[in-house]
Amino acid sequence: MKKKFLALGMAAAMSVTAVGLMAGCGNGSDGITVAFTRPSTSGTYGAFNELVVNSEGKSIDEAREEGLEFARNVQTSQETGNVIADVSAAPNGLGYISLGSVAANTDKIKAVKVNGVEATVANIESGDYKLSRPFNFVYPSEEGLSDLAKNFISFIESAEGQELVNEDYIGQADPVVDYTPYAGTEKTLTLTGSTSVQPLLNEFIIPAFKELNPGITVNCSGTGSGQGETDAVDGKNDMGMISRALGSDYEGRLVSHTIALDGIAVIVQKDVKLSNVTFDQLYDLYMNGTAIPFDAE
Amino acid sequence: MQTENVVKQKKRGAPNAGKVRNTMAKYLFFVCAAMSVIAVFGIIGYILYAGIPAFRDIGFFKFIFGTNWSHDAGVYGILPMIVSTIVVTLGAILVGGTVGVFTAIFLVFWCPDKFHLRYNGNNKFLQKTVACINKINLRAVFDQVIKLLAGIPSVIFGYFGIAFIVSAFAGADVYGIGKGALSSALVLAIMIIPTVTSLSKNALEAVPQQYYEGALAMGNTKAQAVFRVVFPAARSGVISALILGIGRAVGETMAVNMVSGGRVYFPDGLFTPIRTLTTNIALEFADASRGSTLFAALFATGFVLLVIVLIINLSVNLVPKEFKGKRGNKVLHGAREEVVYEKKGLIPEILKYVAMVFAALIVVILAALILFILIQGIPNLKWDFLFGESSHQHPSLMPSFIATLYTILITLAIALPVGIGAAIYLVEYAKPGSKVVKVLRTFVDTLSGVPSIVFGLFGNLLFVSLFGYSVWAGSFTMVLVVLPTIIRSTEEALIAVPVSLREASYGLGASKIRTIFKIVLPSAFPGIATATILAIGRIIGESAALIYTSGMLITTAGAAANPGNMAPTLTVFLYMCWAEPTNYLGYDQAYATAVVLLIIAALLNLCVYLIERRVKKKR
Repeated sequence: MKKKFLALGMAAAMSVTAVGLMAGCGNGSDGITVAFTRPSTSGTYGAFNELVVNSEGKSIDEAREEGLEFARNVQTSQETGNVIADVSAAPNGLGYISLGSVAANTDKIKAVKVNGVEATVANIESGDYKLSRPFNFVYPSEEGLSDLAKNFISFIESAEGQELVNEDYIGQADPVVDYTPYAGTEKTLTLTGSTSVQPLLNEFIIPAFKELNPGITVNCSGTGSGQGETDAVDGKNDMGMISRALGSDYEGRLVSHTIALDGIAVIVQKDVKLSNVTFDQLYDLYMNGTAIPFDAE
Repeated sequence: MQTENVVKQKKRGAPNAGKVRNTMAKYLFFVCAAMSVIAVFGIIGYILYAGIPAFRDIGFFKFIFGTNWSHDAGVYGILPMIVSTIVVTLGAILVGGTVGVFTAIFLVFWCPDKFHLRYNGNNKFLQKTVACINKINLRAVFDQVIKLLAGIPSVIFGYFGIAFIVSAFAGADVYGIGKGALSSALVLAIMIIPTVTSLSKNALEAVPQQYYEGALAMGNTKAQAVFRVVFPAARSGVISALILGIGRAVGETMAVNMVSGGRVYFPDGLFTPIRTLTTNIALEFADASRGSTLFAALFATGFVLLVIVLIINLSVNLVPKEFKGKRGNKVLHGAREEVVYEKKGLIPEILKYVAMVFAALIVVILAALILFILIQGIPNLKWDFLFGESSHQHPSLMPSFIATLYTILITLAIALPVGIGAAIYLVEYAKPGSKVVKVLRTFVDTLSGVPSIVFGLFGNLLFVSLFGYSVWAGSFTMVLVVLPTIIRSTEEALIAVPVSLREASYGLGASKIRTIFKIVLPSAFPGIATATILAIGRIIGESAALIYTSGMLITTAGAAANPGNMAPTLTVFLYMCWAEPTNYLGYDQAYATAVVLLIIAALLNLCVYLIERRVKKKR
């Protein structure tokens, strides 16, 4: 019974605060007060935390390793889709997703500038947009790689493949190679790992690859970057897909091959008047709970 | 069907000498039981084995009583998650349990059988329509619709929770989000209502009619008879229903994950973002590398969960089998409140209206849930999306239909013979009341409370290593998921066959094996069939166990036609649409898939209903 009263009391107290807060909302001076993060093992999470460095030179990742907690206004969303759903439901919310996933969801969310630089493929390529990370294939050894897997990589690094990659990502082929369709006997290529890498392969690479190699089945399954690494070690896939640098646990056991660069976009609800955030603001929002006013420029 | 096949095989395979056949059958059943034991202990043992390094590296007390969990900082403590799990579960059972029990009372005692519409006009069509509506068995429809709730994949509840519950609380949350302990508890409450309602209804119906009639004869009103006599008599059944509801709430992952906020806090406020034990596994597992402390810590989390489920299951056995209360004074244990009333009090009359209001509430929630899915999904149900050719740029559901069908067929082809065989051994051959059987039963029950993501990890380790990522690996994993349900339901069905039937059969000179196949199994057939359909429902609704074994990917119908390839089942496809929305795969496709799953769930329920009706008619 006591608990119940406590809960009721808490509810009452909270609604009073909420009413007060909503009254404050009315004049439009409010800003971004809530941030969404990903589970600590997502590739996007790792890259974002490493890249966001405040003016004192400390990254979120370093702060976390020191044992600092995220601020109270930070919530965890499991998948990219959950971040999009959560941000689109909250005008005071901010999150981050793969740049490749922004274009398909512009009816709900928009990407804001980071440090005054727009999140575009060109700005990532020039190095002006700082939030970018590699997409890698990982496998135990170059020699152990199947011919079909080698052929698949050479397609990505061919002129046609690079053109496809560059639609939403930045190709890393150096130099561009000539491609000849696969002529061997293997029928299936199994790739497992990061869900962030999946859209690049599903939307651009695999359809074109299959057109040139009609008999081949490419299984591209997303369960998370770490699964891609574990599976590669265990020989459960031909190659693992990871959306960050090779994990330190796997150095020496796996080699990685970068196939593209991807941006990480900072997103807010479509109609929100925020257009730019700085690394300092992001750091303070995530680690100290400092709100970002909408008129921030 | 399956049992008949077994019979035929037996006839062909065994030599004619009766004794040899009997002994062989006994050993065959024993092998089935042994396989089940190995499966049960294998999984539980594996979870413990994989979790032990965490207790060793982190320290038992630091792990259990630690208040922070941060993979970045290498700190793993689960106390806030244990507390959150308990609080959210209690909240869910408080709300869902109360509503569920009262709805069951309404269904059994006050729900009208039929509409009583009147139409006095001359319009022939309207006359016919009214006559038609009046023919509908209202109680059966209500009953079926509640069961439909149980067949909806939990991901859909998560999205329903975000769309209705979370957004409704957004204004009351200081951060304007509305996720957290309260939303999690309410989503879970909705999810456990079907379990609690169905089982409480069975308990109420099992109370002998004389109790009710006797109470009426003593001058009680209907409400007094129901709440003072029948309900207390059904108490133990109702409490078991509530405990099973708690089990479901503790093990739920996907839906809670979407509405809980995911932070490791103690639930000190209604909107504090929290993380339960199951969601912790789901959130952290995607990238945990084998052999790391995180990997071990997650299995240790699973082990703690297992212990909680075990405690809950053991407490079911502590529920007294018969009501021993004082003149029906204690009622409403579901609400954890004691209502003591005057002899001719008004309270039963008031409770009657409470029951009606709660039943109406369920109708509203159900209607909202089903309309939510239909309105968003039906406009997107296009032939091309359902049955068209599937490519990476334009995926259709065709590969998922094939994969779902394969998964069901392969899983049942293994799980049914083994599960039924094990149940036959336990009921017909094992010593009745033997301690070994009791312990085994407890472990089988515990296994059914293991969150499915743990099965996924186990399946990934064992079956993916054996068969590679494939529908085969997914199906073998599902065998482990459905085996406990099949064993226990078949056991119940076999026990329900009167001993007198067996004795009569022996008396006529039939051998044991003949009695089992010609007398016992046919009588138990409806129960086994119902269990099979429930298992099919579980297979269709599963996501976590399959993502790690048969994959989350886009594929073609041609590739899916070979179970050696990876292919997503319908529910996995649905989850994929939400997890990574892209140009060609997103919310529209997700809701369309949800409609398909809803239709399948409705068809399965119809099958169960028809079987049950046939049985009732026979009696």
